Amino acid sequence: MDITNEEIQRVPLVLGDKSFKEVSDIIAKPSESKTPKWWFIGLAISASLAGMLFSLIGYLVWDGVGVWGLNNPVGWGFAIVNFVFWVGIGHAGTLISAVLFLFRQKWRTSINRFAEAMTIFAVVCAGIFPGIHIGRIWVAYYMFPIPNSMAMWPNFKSALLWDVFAVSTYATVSLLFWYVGLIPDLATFRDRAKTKTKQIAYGIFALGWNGSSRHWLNYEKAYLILAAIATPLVLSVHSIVSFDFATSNLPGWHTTIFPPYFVAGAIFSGFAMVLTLLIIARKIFGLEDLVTIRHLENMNKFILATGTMVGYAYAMEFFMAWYSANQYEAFAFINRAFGPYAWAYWIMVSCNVISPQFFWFKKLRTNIPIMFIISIFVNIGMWFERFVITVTSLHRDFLPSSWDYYVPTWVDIMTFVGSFGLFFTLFLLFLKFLPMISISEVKSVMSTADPHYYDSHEEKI
Amino acid sequence: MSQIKDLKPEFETTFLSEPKTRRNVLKGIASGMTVATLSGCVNIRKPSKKIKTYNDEPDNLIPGIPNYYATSFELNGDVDGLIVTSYEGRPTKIDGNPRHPNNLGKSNGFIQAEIHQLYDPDRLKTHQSNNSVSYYKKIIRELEKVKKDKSLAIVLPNTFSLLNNHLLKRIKSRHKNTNIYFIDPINNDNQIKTINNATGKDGFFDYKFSNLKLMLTFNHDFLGLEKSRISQLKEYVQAKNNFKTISFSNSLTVSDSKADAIINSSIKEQENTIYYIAKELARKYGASYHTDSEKNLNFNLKFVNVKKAKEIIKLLIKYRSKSIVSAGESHSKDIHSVVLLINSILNNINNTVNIRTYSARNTSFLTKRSYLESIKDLEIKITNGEIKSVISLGVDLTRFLNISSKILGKLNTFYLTDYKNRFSELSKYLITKTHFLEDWGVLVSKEGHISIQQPLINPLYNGKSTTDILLALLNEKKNTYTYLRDFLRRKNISFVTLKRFGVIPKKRKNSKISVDFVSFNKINSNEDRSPSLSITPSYSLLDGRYSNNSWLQETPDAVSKLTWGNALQISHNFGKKHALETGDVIKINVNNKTLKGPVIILPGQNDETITVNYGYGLVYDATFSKYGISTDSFSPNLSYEISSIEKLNEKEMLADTQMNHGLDEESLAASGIKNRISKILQIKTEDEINHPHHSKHHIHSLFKELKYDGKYQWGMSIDLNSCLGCSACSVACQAENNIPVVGKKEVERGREMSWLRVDRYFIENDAKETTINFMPVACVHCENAPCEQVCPVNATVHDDEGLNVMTYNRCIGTRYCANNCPYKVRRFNFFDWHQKNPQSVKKDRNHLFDYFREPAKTVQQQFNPEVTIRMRGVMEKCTYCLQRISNAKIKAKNNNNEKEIDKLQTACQQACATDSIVFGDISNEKSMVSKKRKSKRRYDLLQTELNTKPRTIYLAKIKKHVWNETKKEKSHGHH
Repeated sequence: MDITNEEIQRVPLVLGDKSFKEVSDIIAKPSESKTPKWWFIGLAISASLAGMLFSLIGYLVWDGVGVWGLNNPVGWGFAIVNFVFWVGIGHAGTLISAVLFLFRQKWRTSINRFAEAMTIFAVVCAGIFPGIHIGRIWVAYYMFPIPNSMAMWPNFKSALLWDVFAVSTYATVSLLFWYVGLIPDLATFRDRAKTKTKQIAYGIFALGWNGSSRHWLNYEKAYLILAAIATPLVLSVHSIVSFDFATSNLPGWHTTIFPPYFVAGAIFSGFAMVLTLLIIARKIFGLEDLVTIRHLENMNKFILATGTMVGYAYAMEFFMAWYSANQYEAFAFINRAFGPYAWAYWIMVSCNVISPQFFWFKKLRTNIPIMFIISIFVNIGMWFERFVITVTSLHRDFLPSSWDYYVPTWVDIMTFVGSFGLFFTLFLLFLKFLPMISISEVKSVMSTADPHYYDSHEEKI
Repeated sequence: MSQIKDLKPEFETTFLSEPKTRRNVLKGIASGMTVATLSGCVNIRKPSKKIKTYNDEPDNLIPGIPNYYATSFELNGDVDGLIVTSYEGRPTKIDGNPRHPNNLGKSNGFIQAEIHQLYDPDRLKTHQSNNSVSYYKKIIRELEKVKKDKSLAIVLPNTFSLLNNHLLKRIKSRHKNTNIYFIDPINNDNQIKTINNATGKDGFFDYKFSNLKLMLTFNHDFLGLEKSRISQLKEYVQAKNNFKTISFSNSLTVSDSKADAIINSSIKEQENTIYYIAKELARKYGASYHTDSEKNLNFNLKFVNVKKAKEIIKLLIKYRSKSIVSAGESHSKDIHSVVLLINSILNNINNTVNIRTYSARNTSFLTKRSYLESIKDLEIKITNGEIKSVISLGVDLTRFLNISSKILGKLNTFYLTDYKNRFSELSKYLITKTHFLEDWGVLVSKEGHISIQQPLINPLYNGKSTTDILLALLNEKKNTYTYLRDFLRRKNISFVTLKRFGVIPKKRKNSKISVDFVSFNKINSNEDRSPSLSITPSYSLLDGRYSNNSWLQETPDAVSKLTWGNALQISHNFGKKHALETGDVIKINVNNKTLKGPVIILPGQNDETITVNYGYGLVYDATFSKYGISTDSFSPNLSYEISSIEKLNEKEMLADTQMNHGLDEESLAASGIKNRISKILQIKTEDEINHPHHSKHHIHSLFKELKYDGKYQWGMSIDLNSCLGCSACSVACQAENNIPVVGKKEVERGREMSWLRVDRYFIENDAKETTINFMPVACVHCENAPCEQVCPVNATVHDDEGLNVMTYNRCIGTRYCANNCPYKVRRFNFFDWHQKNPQSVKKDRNHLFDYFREPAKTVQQQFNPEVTIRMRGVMEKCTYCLQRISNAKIKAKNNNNEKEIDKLQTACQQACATDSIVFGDISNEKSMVSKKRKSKRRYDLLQTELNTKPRTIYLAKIKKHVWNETKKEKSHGHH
């Protein structure tokens, strides 16, 4: 069968036949033009929610973990659920920027900055929860292997400790990766800056970038190395987060499927969150030509794939519970689906397994309102997944005498809401002051970057 | 010398060991100054408190080393010898006196919680007259004005005080007209009256379990609140394997946990069954002396389960003279008489049922009136003005008398009380009452054992005892102590012996009485089947006297597992019929009075009976005394007919520590846990235990397991066959280990702190009867502890003696250990419970940010100084009483005597009346716990599932088939 050149020619990654300057203009516009009113309103709302988060944390520290709804069988509740939720969201960034970078997926260039920023902010939100959920926050440093008068190491057998290392490593590498990627763009902003303050501020962070070939050489090397370091972290962080559950002996937690299942879930939720944010930003900042339908469609494909993997994991958990012939395990899963928390379970299944299935249809996965709605569903579903895993396993374990029901308090709920406040505060600041799309990288995938079509020499005209 | 030379300096690297150069000296001075300056910054946090030395130190007082004193205590018709631990003059814990035959060193929850009662900051602190602070002498002057009056009534609870009874007798002989009333809502009047009618003497039943083959009880909580003495419980469980127990009950009790067959039946059904059995037996044996009364027996067959009754009769005939038939106080006096008749027909009297004379009751005027008669008499005399002044020695008349407060208020009342309450509002004169640890006394149990009541502490609030008031009424100039010494001298009782040993046991048992004639009224049985209300004393608050005791308020009821309040207990069918769920509030009409409260659905509850615990509601004007449904207008142990039931559109949250799953919750849970409970409890017949299905298989760990090479290896065994679920262990643990209470709201959330909980499981036995089973669970000290692996900071680790120890100051409170603990025995300090306690007080401020609270000063005195008070945010759990272990080890080492280790007891073990809990060194083959570990009934909870290797092992409960021997054989041939 003959395939014509027309058919295999890829859709360009940047539409609208733009010049380099136009791209720079579009991306730099939010930070250079007058700040719109909605930004201030948005910042006010999210900053006050973030303020609420910190006052609730203050209340928590003053009064005790009891202000949350935890009880004796359910020792972990909203805090851990939120932690896993945010860490999960923080996965998409590194996946998009590092893994897709290594696989030379050029379409990533217009969304990676955005996704990385989201990662950093989600990890910031995530990092708060394990810190504040402990009973004595003031001695949280016991978790770190620092010399002390007790002459004690932390317990290296505990998954919670691995978690501390995994998440802090991930946060550090993600931040570095993001920052290194930002350097050329910061220099662009510095050069375009009209005020002295801006010049100095961007100038400091641009680290004296002048675009020389030597700079580019070092930059490309550093970026590649960081991508290589970050890639295994994508897999390790959520695997280790899942060890918090999997290495315990609680039916419903003690499951070998957890690491891959958690990673798939994390990518799933991360992409959904990027999608949610990107759809809005794209519209507001007029980025339709840079973040094209093709980008969105690709992300939807990821969501479909990982959502189905998650669904498979749900089914496999049930299968293993039955196949193991372990009555405690079997009960844990039947209890999930039909017990007192069945409502949470079915929210999870319908949001995570059923809703992404719509993306089998091209029409639906290229329809912006539909993908927005589904991305929201996935966000909700993935939060409930963590809730189901954490709470339903704990509330009914081995001895029926200890069974109880967990109800969150208003503090639980408002702390979670507050974490969104923090997330959006950081995000709005990012939109305002930093290039939300990687200027230099986008330019590299434009046709302008390859005027003589060296990259596509087979189709010389 | 050479040895010393070899020693290296301990701190090699400090500057002290450095060469003394000018440079180093300057360095030292500089760093010294820095430290001195810094210390100035820190001391704002360090409270400066002065320790005062004794001017004249009491003998044998070494700070930090407790002294032990013997005393005794009367409660619920029983006298128990006690030993109280005292640190520097403050008593901290009460335990049983091993020399006292009534409890042999054992105790119960009430005794354990009495120490908390002593330090209750809500106690009445000042004497008052007409609602203003007054002096005792002033009040006594007023008292003298009325003491000879004909219109004076002295009201007090039943007492076993030798001294008080003697004083009352003297008062009675001096002022013939004085009315003396004993008002004690929880009593055994029916039993006493029945024995009196039949024998002409006051007596009590003394059961002999050693030759027993069959015990048949009717609503008789003879192992619970209706026990004769604590030591009887052990006699029962030791003989338990030789006999069967059949229990008729309208609501499950702790006694039912030991029954082999439980027949769920209303009081009316029980009555008719008793008549039926009596009549059949009388017909068969036709004994001569009761032919008359036999005619009075009319039963209604509609209320009798004839099939079961016939089987019971067969068994009774088979085991003639080797059975006990007994009825509880909720049955009327006539029923007690019929039961006595049955026992005498069966020739049980003087074989298994001994009737012995009362030692304490030799003062004849005491037995004239029952509780109900006293109340009636008082009501009449007060309303028609015959009684104008009342001296109430600790009795709140508003609770028991059906008289308007207006009339009561007009009385000239002297009220000796430990709390403010409704009656104190109406009383003219209030005298603060001492706690029994604050005054002298001498008690005699009904068996005749004389024991001393020795004060441990000066009255905290200038209190006066009952004896003080009685002495004042007699114009005695001597104080209680000197009078007591004189009294004992006169009676030829050695005070020194009493003080030293606490008790002078009576060597010979009281004489037996034989039954010559049993009579009862003609009994008419009606057809009515309307539901009845049954009021039972509370396992936690008894008659309400412990209403302000937060320890007991938070001790879950043995059966319903409710804390902080009671509820109307209904059956599942009753709930269905009236569309009720646990927590629904209903209003019931009884005797033109209404009761309103939430219902709780309990398995084993009779379909026609609503049971509610007595002693709840507002009893005192105090912090904790306000929870639950007040049943004050009713008498405990009586059954009332309910005229109407109305469901209100309200719901109330019940603070239970265990959800009512089991036979009837959601079907899912029921199916999920039925099999599980049978695995947890492993109830087996003796045959199954002796011939196990399969040999034990060992689970091998994939990992290198910990080696335990300490000198001692600690372990515990809990015998479920003898455990009564009474929660004495739990309260003892609370007293020993400074366990805080959390309050109603927090129990509702599920944050109770008790280290040792008593799990309750309702299951159906082979005869489809609902049984109740108890299982105390504390940390089982797994050798492969799941909690230890997950703690990120190593705050919970093992020592080489097999203890799973908590390092509180290392714990950061991740709660991961609690999540991973399959036994769910770890307790987390979600708050600083001591600060959250409503009885807490503002702390003295030591620095700028010091807005903290602390437990009331008196409450602080109770704390066991050997046990750390845990701060908020840390995990805690059972330590196997580590402080006691250490003390025993120190003593054993110092005295070079391993006996100290054998004597070692944990707090729960020490309290356990049936010795179900045994603790000790499992590496010592001869230790009791090692022997228990070899029992065929042994099983390790969740071991086959998780390979945790718990150090606490359980001994399975034995089940016995009662009905239809043939059926048993059929199931036997099955395997």
